[in-house]
Amino acid sequence: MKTVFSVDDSPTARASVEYILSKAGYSVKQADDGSEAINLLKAKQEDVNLFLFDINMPNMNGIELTKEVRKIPKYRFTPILILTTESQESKKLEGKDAGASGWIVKPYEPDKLLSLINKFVGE
Amino acid sequence: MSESLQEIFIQEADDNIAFLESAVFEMEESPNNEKVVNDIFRAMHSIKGGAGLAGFTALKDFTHHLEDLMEQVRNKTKSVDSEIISLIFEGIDVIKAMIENIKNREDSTLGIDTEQYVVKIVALLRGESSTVAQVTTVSKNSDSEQQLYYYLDLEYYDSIFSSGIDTLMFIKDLEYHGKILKLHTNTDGIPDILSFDPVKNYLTWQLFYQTKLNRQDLEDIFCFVIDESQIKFVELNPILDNPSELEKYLVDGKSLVDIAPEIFAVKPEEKESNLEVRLRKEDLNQSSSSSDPKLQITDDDSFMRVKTSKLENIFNTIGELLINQSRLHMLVEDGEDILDDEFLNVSDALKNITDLLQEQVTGLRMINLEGTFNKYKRVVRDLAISNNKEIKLTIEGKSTELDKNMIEKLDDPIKHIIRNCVDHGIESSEERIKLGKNPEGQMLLSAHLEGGKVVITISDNGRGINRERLLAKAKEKNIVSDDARLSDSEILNLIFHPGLSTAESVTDISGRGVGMDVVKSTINELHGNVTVESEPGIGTTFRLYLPLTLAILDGMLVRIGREKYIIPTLSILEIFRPEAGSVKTISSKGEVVLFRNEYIPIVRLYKLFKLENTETDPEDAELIVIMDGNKKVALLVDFVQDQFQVVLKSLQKNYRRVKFISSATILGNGDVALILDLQSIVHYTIKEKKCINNTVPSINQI
Repeated sequence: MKTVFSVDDSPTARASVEYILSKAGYSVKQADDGSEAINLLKAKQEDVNLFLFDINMPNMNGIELTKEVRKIPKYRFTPILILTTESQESKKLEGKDAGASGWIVKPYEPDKLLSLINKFVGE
Repeated sequence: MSESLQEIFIQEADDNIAFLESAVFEMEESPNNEKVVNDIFRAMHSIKGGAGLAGFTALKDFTHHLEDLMEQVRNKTKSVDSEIISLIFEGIDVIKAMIENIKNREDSTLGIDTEQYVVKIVALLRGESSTVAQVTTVSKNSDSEQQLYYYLDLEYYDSIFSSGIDTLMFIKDLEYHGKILKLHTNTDGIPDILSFDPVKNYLTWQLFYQTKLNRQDLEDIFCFVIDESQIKFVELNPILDNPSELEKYLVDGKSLVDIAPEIFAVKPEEKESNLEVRLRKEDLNQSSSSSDPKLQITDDDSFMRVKTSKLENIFNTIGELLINQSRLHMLVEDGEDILDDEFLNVSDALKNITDLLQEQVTGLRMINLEGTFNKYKRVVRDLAISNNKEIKLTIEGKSTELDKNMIEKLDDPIKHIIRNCVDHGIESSEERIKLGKNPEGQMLLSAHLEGGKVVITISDNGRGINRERLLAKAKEKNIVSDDARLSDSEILNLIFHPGLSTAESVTDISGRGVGMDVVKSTINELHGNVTVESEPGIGTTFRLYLPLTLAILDGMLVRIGREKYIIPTLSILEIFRPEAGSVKTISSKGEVVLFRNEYIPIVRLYKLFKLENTETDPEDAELIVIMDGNKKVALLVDFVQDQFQVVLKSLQKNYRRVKFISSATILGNGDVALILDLQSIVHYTIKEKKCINNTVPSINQI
């Protein structure tokens, strides 16, 4: 089973990601805070097929988190998608520099999220 | 009242009248055919409803009487006899005359004595013979002074809010005309929060109602929604000897849903036979016992022919609307903090309405494949006979829907593939017997939906494609260099190359070597993809992958430097970041990357488009694996920026042809994004890598 690791501080957003992805047959791992996620990943080195990060989070935002995840050799080439509501150009380029694979704009249709993730994970 | 609405009504009424005339004959012949009776009732009901909406009150009132008569026939209160039949025919003649007047922009009742006719009907309904009818004025409210009790079950269609209708309005209306004794709001239909759609109606209401209105007046309150909703009225007076007993049921704290069966249990038969008025179309249709095709034509609302160009115009305009709407949406989102809530709400509502509109108009263009597919039965049969072969064609998935324009453009490619299968794929009966196969060859033509795209499969259980002969021919024609080493899928893919055909004999239909390349370019123009699989001795399968519609494309927005490009999602196999060491340079193929045990060429798009300040290290970029025919290449991009439905704009029409670009689109923020022409990119790449020479110029090369 393919694993998606999502980090979002909003319980509603986590519930919706969990619902959409688990229904589509993914195993979903979640964390509500960036540094917690990093500790977990470093400690367990679990297999992850795709990361899904919210951009706006307290403590560590999605771009900083991306930067940290890329530093873990195991996840050097794992796709990282960032969820955003912002249309700001500069953020996009910042995300790219941090190592993000792509962006998904919120609010998203479940089908769109799934289709994008499927392309990155490979059907 | 708008003129166009009146025109629509007239057109519909003409259809309904034509239908009525033939159906009444039918009823005369088989008076017990419930479907015919129901259909007649419904056609009258449509005329009445339409006349009301279009503002022809006299016509509405008149048809109402005719409908009353049919109602009694339907309830079997009146049996069909020659008197009723002639009365209905007479009534239809009156309606025709009134519509004629309307067409001539005259008063609808000009020169027509409707009163005389109404009197006859009323007499008949009262059980008198029409010949002795007295001229009496029929008053709508003549017997409505009495208090009536009703049980109402209001179940509106779920998209009612999008029609701008407030469901509570009906409750208020009912309150105005009488007294709601008990109201129950049923919330069982509300789904969990994740599938909840805030613009859908999930509530239904049941209520006991006391009023002076008769059933017709009550029905009129719901006249705008009755056709699509399930609104039920049950008159309680005949059920309960003393309707005021209702109070007894209402006081002991039971819910309405509990009480209803109790009350209806009193005289269930009566309720079934004539008290319940169901006005849901499906129910009327389902109750049919006959399946006369003549009558089924009008199963739904009548059809109207519209020029395709008119639809196209609507589509284009909606495209513009979509673009502007999403620009507005973005502006509003950027200014979220300073704009007041109402502004945001309006922008959200506009977005939903635009989406809905787009969906509905797209739906208008969708037709199923039945007609097209059935045509191929004949094609296969004729070809089999002329080739002296035995072939059985199986067709599946005829109900799959596709854009009408697309279906038209698919006709030639599908026909061509079928001809190839019959001519070259399937062996003669003798040959098949020798091979131990069933002498009758099998072909399959099927269509199905797969993740937002339509897949059309055409396969045969014939001899399969001969790789050696294909490759030899390609080398002979200098399409492939003598020392080239091609993978199996690359060899198969040669059949799509211009100027190649493996058929030894040249028939008048296929085999001239023109064809499969045209098939491919046609499918590509439709933003689709065609693949071929073949096993020697077992058969060949062609698959056409197509978007549902031509005007809108599912695309992935990618960034290369500061530029934005769209890649049709349909063609994307996978997106990945190549691990260290998986990118190599092979002398015969150039730069390649290992993807699922296969080395595929990398296309550095920034080089192709001469862009600067882009990601150049594959390990820090994303590789998008796309498929064109059987050929795969990996496009190197900086990153992926969401997935969209984009409205296509022709670059040729608005600018000029541009190499490697198929068309353009305007993004939400007003930026233009170019849509990649994958076929020409793949073609160019493979040619560049000197793997396959291209002697015949492709139409996509500029």
